[in-house]
Amino acid sequence: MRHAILISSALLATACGEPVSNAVFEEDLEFLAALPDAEQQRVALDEEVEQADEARAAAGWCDPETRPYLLCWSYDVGGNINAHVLAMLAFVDYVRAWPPTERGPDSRVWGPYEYEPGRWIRLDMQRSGGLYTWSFSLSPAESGPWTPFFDGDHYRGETVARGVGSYTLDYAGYAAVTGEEAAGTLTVDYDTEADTELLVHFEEVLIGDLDQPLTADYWYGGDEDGGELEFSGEANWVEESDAEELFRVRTRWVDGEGGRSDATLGGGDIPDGWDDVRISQCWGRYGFGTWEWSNYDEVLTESGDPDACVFSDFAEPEHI
Amino acid sequence: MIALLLGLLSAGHAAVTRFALVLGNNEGAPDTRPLYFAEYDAEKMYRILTDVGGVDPERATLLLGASRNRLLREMGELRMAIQMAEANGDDTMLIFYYSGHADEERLELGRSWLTWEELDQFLRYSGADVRMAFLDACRSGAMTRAKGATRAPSFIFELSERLDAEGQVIVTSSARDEASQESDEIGGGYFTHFLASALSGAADADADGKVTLTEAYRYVYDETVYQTRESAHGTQHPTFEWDLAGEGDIVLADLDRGRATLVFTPDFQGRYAIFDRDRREFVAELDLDGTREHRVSLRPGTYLVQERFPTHLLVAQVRLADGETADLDGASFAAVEYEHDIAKGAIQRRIRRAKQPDLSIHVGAGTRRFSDPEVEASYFPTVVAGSIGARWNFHDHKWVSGDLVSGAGAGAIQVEGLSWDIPVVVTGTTLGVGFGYATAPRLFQVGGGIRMAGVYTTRAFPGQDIPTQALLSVAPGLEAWVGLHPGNLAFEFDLRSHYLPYLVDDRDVGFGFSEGLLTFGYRF
Repeated sequence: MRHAILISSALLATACGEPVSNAVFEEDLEFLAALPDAEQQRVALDEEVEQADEARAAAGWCDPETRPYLLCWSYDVGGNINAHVLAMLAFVDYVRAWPPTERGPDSRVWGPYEYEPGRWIRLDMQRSGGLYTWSFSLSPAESGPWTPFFDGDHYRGETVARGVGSYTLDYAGYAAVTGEEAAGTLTVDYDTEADTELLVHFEEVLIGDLDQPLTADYWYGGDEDGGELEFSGEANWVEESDAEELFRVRTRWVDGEGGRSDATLGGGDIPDGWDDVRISQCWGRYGFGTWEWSNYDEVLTESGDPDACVFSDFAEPEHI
Repeated sequence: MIALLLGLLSAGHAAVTRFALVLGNNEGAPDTRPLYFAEYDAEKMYRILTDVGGVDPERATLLLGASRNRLLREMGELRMAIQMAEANGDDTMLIFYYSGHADEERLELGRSWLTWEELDQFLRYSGADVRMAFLDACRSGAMTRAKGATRAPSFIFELSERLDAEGQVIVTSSARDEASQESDEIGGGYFTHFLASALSGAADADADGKVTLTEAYRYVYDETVYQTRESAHGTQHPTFEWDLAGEGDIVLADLDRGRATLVFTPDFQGRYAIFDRDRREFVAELDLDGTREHRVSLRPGTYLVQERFPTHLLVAQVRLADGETADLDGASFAAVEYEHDIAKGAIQRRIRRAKQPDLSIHVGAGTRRFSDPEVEASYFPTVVAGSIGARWNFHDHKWVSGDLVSGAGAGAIQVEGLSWDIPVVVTGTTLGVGFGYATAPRLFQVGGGIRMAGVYTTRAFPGQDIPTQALLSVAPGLEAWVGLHPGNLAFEFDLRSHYLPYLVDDRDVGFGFSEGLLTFGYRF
């Protein structure tokens, strides 16, 4: 057998053609791995709370009688982030189903593909060391002209799929080709090298049901045990008038055990001198409230057992 | 097969129906070397018995390479035929001839056998009035020794007074402790050669146109002993067992039945050999004393008549037409040196041919696939292949082969993680040689062995800007085949399994691939 291998090796030198290898396809896979993955780029909420939510959907989610509204709000925010990111990454998933149309030593091109009738899409990717840059373009015709609308970059970590990067969807660019009403940009900065961190930034986004441009930041960090979600905005927390208060929320949870949301309020109906209005709500497994507290009685009064909180300290947002 | 022979012309029998069962088998037990001429000798005896032995071809059966089961079946049919003839009031005679391997216990029929005892029982209870067995096999004397007979010198058999015989005669080619020898000089076994020669007329000592058992045995005994006297295997002594009651002489061959006759007038003196140019065989050898006419019964054809001298031959060519009787007066004899002897050359060519391996050429179709599902799925889909090849089957059950298998197939491969299939066109060519062992070349034959193949395989990716990839390597392997061989045709299923060492994607992997082929061939 050893002789056979040696003879074989000698003969290989005389073989006509490239050696048999799937390396080119493995490289295709590497390029695809450098694109954001919807499974990684999502806010992973406590599944037990979500399952409890589904079981009680008929009774109404976030019934103030049974659920802390900061929890409900956090889940709404998380769901919205996931929906937007998923919508963005639908373009990525689309090209994943096709082989590249052009291959270079450090580049790949997918498309043009007719994404929808009259809308052609293509993806150009470049590799330089561990940096992958990519750009989706749209065109009303197969031959162009091409309008970039979705691009990003990715630094590979220990594996290509795990790394640091960012991507931006230009709603205006997309709308320029599709004719839809849309504006603003949505940018996601991510770090998936170890755990998952997402910083989602809406900049003057005006799409769908939004009646005014949205500018907001959301941050999510999660690992296999739980996660955190930070967001801010304006809402009419103190209903003395229609004036909305500014708020910043940080929600933390441990999967299968419960969580805590802490919020700070300002402006609106908050009297002058109260620049440190705080609200905290805790919940246990399945999302049922265990304790809530505020230092401003106009918002809520303390109830429940503070020792039942999974997190005992008040924590303000750190990333937004 | 049934056939029989014996020209038993017994002076008091108006109707004698002769049956003959002629059996030849080159194959013996697994530990024996196959014979070259046993089946050939059986064919020769079959012709003699049906030409001059008085056996109607419809009552003569020739079995070549038959197994025990086949032989027993034929014996059963023969017994029924004899009994029907007896029921019609005919006197019957059964001649059994066997050429092949044997030991002290049995006839060897390839991997099966028939014991001497079983043969004796068959003969005794066949129902024939006279049973005769001619056994050209090593230690066939065991058959007569078992019956209490001993080596019989020719002169003790004075049978001319026997008439209206009934009983059994067994003539064996050698004594119990002797080998029966084949000769490259004559292209057959000594015993059968001289028995055939005797029945053709060489043994007609009284020149009455009939060869009796006594004459035949005496001739066969004398010639066999004489020709093997200096053999390295020892002198071969035919034996004879006689258990006949009645009177009269048993005539084995009636030369008047022959289709053509060659007559040596009393002028001829010396040792003559007659060579059939058409069949490339010696048909008779005669010692003529120049005192009387001598007749030899032959088939129509072209013959060389040789008179042998120590330094040269005198050779004449004679053509005999159907029904013609010709004498050699006026024949033109020419002196020929032994090295220019046409007969010898022809015999040697036939011997070489007999010793040459059987060649079969075959073409086929099938598939080639890699046994590792991952390799098949990710690298080489199964391809449809065609083949052309040759195999040489040697007489010692060995075979060697060479073949070319080439095929192509379009399919798709998958790479884990990719959500699309990759279209690929695979071609594969295998140039291989094999060596192994097979069962005896019968209707069904099975073989197995080892192989070494050069493998050239390409992968092309239509519609994609990826260069064609190629693999060239050598692959050791195993091969097994099973064949159905009616006549010269061969239908076989051939399965080969190879190990293909190769370095793929920086992984030192070994591919196992197999080829399954249905082939059709012709055996020369």
